[in-house]
Amino acid sequence: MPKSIRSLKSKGQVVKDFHKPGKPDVPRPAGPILLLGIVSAEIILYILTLNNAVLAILLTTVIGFIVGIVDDRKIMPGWFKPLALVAAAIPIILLGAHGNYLNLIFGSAFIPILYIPLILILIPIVGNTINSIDVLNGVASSSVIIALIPILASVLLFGNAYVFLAGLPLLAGTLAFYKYHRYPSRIFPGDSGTLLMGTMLGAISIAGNSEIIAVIALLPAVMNSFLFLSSMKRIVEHREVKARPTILSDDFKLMASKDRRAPVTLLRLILSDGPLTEEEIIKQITKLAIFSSALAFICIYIQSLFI
Amino acid sequence: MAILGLMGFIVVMWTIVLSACGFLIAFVGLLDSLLSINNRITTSLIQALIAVILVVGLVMVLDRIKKLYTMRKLKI
Repeated sequence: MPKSIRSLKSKGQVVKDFHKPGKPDVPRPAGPILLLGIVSAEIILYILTLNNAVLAILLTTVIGFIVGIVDDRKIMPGWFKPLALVAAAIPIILLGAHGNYLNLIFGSAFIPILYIPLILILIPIVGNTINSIDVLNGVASSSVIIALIPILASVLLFGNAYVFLAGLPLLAGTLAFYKYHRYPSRIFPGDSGTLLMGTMLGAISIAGNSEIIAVIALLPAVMNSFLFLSSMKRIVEHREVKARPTILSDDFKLMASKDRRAPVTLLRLILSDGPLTEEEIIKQITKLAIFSSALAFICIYIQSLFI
Repeated sequence: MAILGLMGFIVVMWTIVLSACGFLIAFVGLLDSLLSINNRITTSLIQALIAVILVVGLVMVLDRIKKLYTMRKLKI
């Protein structure tokens, strides 16, 4: 990672961190280095196991990364990411990495036909959900790490061991990345990094029969996407939003906007009681992520009673 | 404390997800035996339709809760 940071800096691939005094330049994107670490581990795992689910997770991750790197290099319209991410779901379907039963906590439903469109919807949703929670230093990576703990536990209990093993490189890679992404960030993931993490998380959840557990573990991020979409009423890029949901004060504290046209986001709601520093907001989001993961563990316990 | 309100909102979302799962398992899953339709595809389509209607309904309920919550919190 430090080499990648130096390389991005020397190439001038930096963006301003607007929430800090002096607006320092931060290298971006970390997607390529994350991909290198995670994919090399997945390739070794596939060679050793020749398991289709591992290959499907690998290909979905690579496609998610490609969609992200296109968006990192070129400003794409709001519809691009959700639509292009449908392609990332195709390897799961073609390689038959999904089951025919959807785990619904209190039992499972046999939905062989309905499962296909569900996968095509789920991968873009999870990818974009992680992408949209990437608002402050370290939030996207910490959200993925915290959500991965119950998801991997569920995959091990209700899915299969190969998918669990395929999930470990994401946990290890994201943990390593978090060291540099946490406040104050020394590198940003970019769309390539967030979409890589999001699509891989989605693929692990599907191949590991843990979709509902993943939705619950990711509730703060899901809530953020839901609030944004529900207030904007259409798919739109954050950069296209004219009225900002938060305002930066002179003492570098963030405040909730009172503008009716501004989208409602998780960040804006956290700030509804008054201005907070970036570090304070990150702590609040982390608490919400841990709370959701605890709820996911309760669901795992309930599910274990019905199996 | 904004965080407590948000935790409450998360619990509401969690309860909605669990309720939907329970409903799908308890009622929609039993349609196979309740409906006297021999065609498996027709039964599956009816089940899928109920599931989709349920999800859309839950999103609408959640949207309503969100509006009430944000109006109260953000005073807009």
